[in-house]
Amino acid sequence: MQELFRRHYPKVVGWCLRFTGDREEAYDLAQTIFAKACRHLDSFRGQSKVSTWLYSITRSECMNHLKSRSRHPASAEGEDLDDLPDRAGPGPDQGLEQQAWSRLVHGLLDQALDDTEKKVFTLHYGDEVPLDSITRLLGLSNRSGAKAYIVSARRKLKRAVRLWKSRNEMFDA
Amino acid sequence: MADVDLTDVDGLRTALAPSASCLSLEQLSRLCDRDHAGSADARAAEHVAGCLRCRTELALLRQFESLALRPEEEEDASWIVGRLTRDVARLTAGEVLPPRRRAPARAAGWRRFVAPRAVAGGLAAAAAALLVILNVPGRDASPTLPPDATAGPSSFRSDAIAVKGPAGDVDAAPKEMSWEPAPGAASYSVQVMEVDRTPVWSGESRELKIALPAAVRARVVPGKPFLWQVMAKDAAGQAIAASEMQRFRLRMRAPHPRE
Repeated sequence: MQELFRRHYPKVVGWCLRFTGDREEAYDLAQTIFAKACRHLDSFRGQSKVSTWLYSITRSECMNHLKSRSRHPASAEGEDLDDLPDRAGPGPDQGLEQQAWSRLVHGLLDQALDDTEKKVFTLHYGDEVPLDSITRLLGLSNRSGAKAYIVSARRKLKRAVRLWKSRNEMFDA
Repeated sequence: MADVDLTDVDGLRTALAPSASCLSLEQLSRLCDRDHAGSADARAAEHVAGCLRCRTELALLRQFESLALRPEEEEDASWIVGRLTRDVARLTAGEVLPPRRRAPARAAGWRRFVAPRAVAGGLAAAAAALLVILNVPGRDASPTLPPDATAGPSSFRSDAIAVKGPAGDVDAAPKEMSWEPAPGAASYSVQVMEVDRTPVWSGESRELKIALPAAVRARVVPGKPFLWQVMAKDAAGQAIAASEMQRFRLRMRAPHPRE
């Protein structure tokens, strides 16, 4: 088992370092991951690679770690979206079915953003991953890291929403 | 038709949450590995092509699978891997790791349970814990190479096996690796690696040292760092303890005189 895990230490440890940005936290996280892997080795069915199995544990523990730190992008970094239009408009629960809302958001993001912006946006707003973690995980080397991608995504989305609205208005008329 | 409010963070989260048709990590992994000849895989690939969430998950999975440590991560990673090796050895032996205590203060983490061997044996637990906390560098203390083991202190701090050397910057290619005994050890396994963990050489010893072959020494050129680690095994060949990952390199220039 030790040999099995040893090969994967660098991946898991590297991931934890990038996720937390802190050696002690990364160690705590990595220790939890391998303790869990040891405990649940029997559940590894061999249907996927060991690295995929370890990644699933790693991903899940990283999310638990986030919850335990209670970092919420809506409060910490919610100002990123403040100047988008339609702030007063009805939310998805009031106007659109959840599925339709989801399709619309996916469509707008897909249409308006580049690949990196999509990943940053999905991780930050979908999974609540902090921007500094996203910067390290995706290896973003620009000066402002993921924040710059959120800002450009916001700008592009603003345009896309405006376009979408004008098309709808034409259609309704 | 309803308006779009992208300032609604909860709404965004709902929209970006995985749907019932999103793929599992196992399915995504298969997509990474295979051509999509099978109909199930073709359907999966089609879903991924249109799903932002799955595409992001796939990108992250690929990132993980191909992860190579960056130079600036190596020191911290070595520090963690040394401890993980010990932890997994304990878990394999059926031990239960002490509970981790997360506290706001940086020095009050799990490492309070990790006491240097020399201290753990001789002092009361409270005093040992205090010493450990005081000796552990703070968050901003960047890890540095320890001094030359052959000329410096007789051993380096290690939680399971204390290593004598080589470690840090050395003046000559090391002739041997040496370490302190681990309780219950019948033999020791040593591995020398490149900094990306590519194995360079490994050997077994029943003593507390092992000679480094000339062919390996010849690869130790000035400025090139190497990693090495020693693992203790019991009579049945099971690993029971390990040192931290050690790093050494041959100095680029003549050393300054010691103060």
